[in-house]
Amino acid sequence: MDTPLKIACQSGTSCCGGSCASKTCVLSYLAVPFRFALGGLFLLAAFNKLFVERGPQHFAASVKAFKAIDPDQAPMLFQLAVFGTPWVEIFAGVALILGLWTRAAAGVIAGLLVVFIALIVSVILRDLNTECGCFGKLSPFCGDKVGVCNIVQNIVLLAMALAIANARTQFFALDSILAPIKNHRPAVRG
Amino acid sequence: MKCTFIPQFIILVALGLSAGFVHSKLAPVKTTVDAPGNMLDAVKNAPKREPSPGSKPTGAPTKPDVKTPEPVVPDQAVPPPAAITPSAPSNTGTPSPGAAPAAGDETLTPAQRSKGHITLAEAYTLFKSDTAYFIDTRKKSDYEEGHVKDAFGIPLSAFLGKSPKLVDAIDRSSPIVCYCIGGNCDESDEVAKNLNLMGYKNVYIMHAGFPGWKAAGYPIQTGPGIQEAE
Repeated sequence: MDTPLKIACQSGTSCCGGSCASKTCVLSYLAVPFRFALGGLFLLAAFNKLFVERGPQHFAASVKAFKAIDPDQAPMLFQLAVFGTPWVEIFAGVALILGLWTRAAAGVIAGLLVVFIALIVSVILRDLNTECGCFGKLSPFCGDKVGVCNIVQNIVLLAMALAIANARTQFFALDSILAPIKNHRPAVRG
Repeated sequence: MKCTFIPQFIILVALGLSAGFVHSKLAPVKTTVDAPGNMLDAVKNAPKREPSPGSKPTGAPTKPDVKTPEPVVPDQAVPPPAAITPSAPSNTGTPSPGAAPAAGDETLTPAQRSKGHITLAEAYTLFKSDTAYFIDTRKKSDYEEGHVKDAFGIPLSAFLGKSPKLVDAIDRSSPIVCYCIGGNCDESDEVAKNLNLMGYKNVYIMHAGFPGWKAAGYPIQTGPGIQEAE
C-alpha cells in the first residue's frame, strides 16, 4: 500500500526527486505542523503585545528594561521596536499558516529569533533583572524572569523555523497551489 | 525559488514595520513623564482611596502594620486649605501655582514642576484628600524603617519589565505621589516615568522625599506595611 510519503514522492510536483526516504522529503512533512505551531505562536505573541489591555505599554516596559534602545534618545526607533516587532510577527505568522511565501516567512521569524536570542544573552550578561515580554503578559514556557530557559525556547523555535525554510515542498500551503499555476502559465509569444 | 526569497523577505518585514509605524502614530506609548494634570482636578475626579487594594500580592498584609502611634501631625504643619480651594485653580498642566508654600518654604524650579515635582505642602494636600496613593520607591529596609502612612512600598526594581501587582490595583485617574530620599534621588523620577508609561496621568513626585516629610511632622508609620511581593 502506498504511503502518503510515497505518493507525494511519486507525484510530479514532489520535491523528492525519486529519493523517497530522503531527509528533505521528511522535512517537508515535518514542516506542516511546525508551520501551524510557529505561526500560531507568533500570532498569539503579537496579539498579546498589541491588542490586550495595556499590552503595548507592557511590551514597551519590557523593551525599555532590556536597555537596548533608549526611549529618550531615540523615541522613533523605540516606538518602531514596540509596534513594528509584533506587526512583523503578525505578517510572518499569517504567511506561515497560509503557506504563502513560506520560506521567506520562516526566514523572517528565524531572523527575529536570532535577534531575541542575542538580546536575552545580553540581558543575562548585564545581569538585568527583567521580564521577557516575549508573549506579552503570558509566560507559557518559561518563568517571568529572563533566563536560560528563554534562550532554549528560542533555539527550539529557531530550529523549527529553519526546518520550514529548508523544506523543499510545502504541503497544505498556498505556495504549492500557486506554484504549478505559475509554472504552467503559457509563454507570451511576440 | 531562491530568487524570490529576498524580495519576499523584504516585503514581509516592510509590511510589518509600516503597519507598526502607522499603529505607533495612532496610539503611541508614552516614553516620557507628562506634566501631570491640575492637582485640584485630579483630586476632584479621583475615586476615594481604598486602604487595601483587592489584588494584593501573596503575603501582603490586609491592613498596614502600624507600629508607631499614628498622627504625628501638629496642626501648624497642615498646609492652609488654600492649596486645594478653587480660588487657586490652574489649567496649565502643573500643580496649583497658588498652592501654599511648603513646609520650610520649599520652592521648585519650572523644570522640576514640568517633571511633576510637587512640594511637601502639595503632597500633604493630596494625602489629606484621601484620593492619592503614595509610593515609596526606596529599598525594602528603608521602607520598613519608616514611610508615609499607608504608602505602598514598590522599589524601582519592581517596574523593570513588568507591572507591579500593587500598581495594577490603582485606578488610572487616581493621583499618585512617588518619593524616595529627596533631593537628587532618581528612583521616584524613574518610577514616575514607568507609571506614566503604564497610563497613569496624575503622577507626582514629592521633591523633598521621605526625610522632608518626616521632618515636617506629617504622618508616618514603620513596619512591613504594604509592599510589592518580590
